[in-house]
Amino acid sequence: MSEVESRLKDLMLLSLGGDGMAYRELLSKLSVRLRAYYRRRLGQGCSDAEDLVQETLIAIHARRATFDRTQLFTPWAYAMARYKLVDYLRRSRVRAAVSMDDCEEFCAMDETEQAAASRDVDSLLSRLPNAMSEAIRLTRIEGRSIADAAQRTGKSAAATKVSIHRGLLRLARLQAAGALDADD
Amino acid sequence: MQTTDLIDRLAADLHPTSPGAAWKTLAVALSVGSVVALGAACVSFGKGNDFAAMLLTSSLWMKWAYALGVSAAALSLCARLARPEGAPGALPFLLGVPLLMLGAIALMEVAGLPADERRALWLGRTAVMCPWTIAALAIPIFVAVLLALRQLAPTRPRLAGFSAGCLAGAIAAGLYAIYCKETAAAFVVTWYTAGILLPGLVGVLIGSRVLRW
Repeated sequence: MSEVESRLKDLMLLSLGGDGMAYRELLSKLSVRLRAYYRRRLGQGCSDAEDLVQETLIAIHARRATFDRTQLFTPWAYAMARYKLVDYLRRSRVRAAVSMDDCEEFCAMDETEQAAASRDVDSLLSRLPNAMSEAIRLTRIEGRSIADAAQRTGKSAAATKVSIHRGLLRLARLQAAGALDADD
Repeated sequence: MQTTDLIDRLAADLHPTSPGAAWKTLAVALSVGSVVALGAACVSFGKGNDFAAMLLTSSLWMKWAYALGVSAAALSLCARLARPEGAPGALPFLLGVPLLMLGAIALMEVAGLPADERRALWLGRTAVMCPWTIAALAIPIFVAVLLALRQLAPTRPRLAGFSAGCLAGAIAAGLYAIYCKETAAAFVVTWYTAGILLPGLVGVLIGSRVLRW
């Protein structure tokens, strides 16, 4: 029997007898091991690891009666930890399935259509004065804030807003004219 | 909440746990469920047959031996699976032992009989309702055992659900035997087994949903 096993099992036996100090020490030692276990399985950056640590501690607490004193402690605690991990992965696979659907939908978008659309936008923008097209490109296409766009173009926020507004109006007019052209 | 705070709270909530606590949870569930099932049987079948006379028949003891054998196997499997690290091992096969034994008796019983007599023995008079009655009597026991398992830590929910269903079915079969007039081993091994397996299959189907924690 390993040293860890015998130490943890001693603490568990004391805890089952109602020794709060031993129990606190047991849960602290377990939380360190659980944290390492979940981080290793889920990746260092995963923020759910700490939630799983807490869920497992609560499960161990609520279900401590299922520990058989004649058996080893670590396999019991590990079975709890593993169950919580499997449960978590099953739950998150449902979530992953949803996001994968989104991805397929995303990939299924017609690329030629997309390319044609961006070409159209480029050609329309090229017919605007530089200040307007640049302001619209930065804010409406690249999604930057007005303040960010203003800083990049070296103009005031108010001037950028006006450029966007006027540019969009002019684009609408150009497009309407284009539609008429196409009708002809 | 910080994990250290959680540990403080859990430590403050610590009560001493007796060694047999998990068994006690199962035992209480079985007792409550069985009493409810027995009450339901009394209400629906009335006083039934002359119990003292029935105690002298070998068929009642055959049914009880079968029900007891299956209950014991199912209970040991159920108690094993109630622990998180509990591996079923060979215990599921133990359920088959009483089945094989009674099956052998049934074969000896029908051997050498003409086909129509064999069939009459096998179907008895109550073959259609027998499994359903046992399954219905099993419901309160089944529910009680599932509730008990939810407080424990089964990590193989389907198999745990199966064991809970078979356990409830076997106890219900033992109760039903008091009211059942059939005498053939061939009847019992078929229709009692069906009544035991019905809740067992329900346990497989609902286990992963009901026994989550």
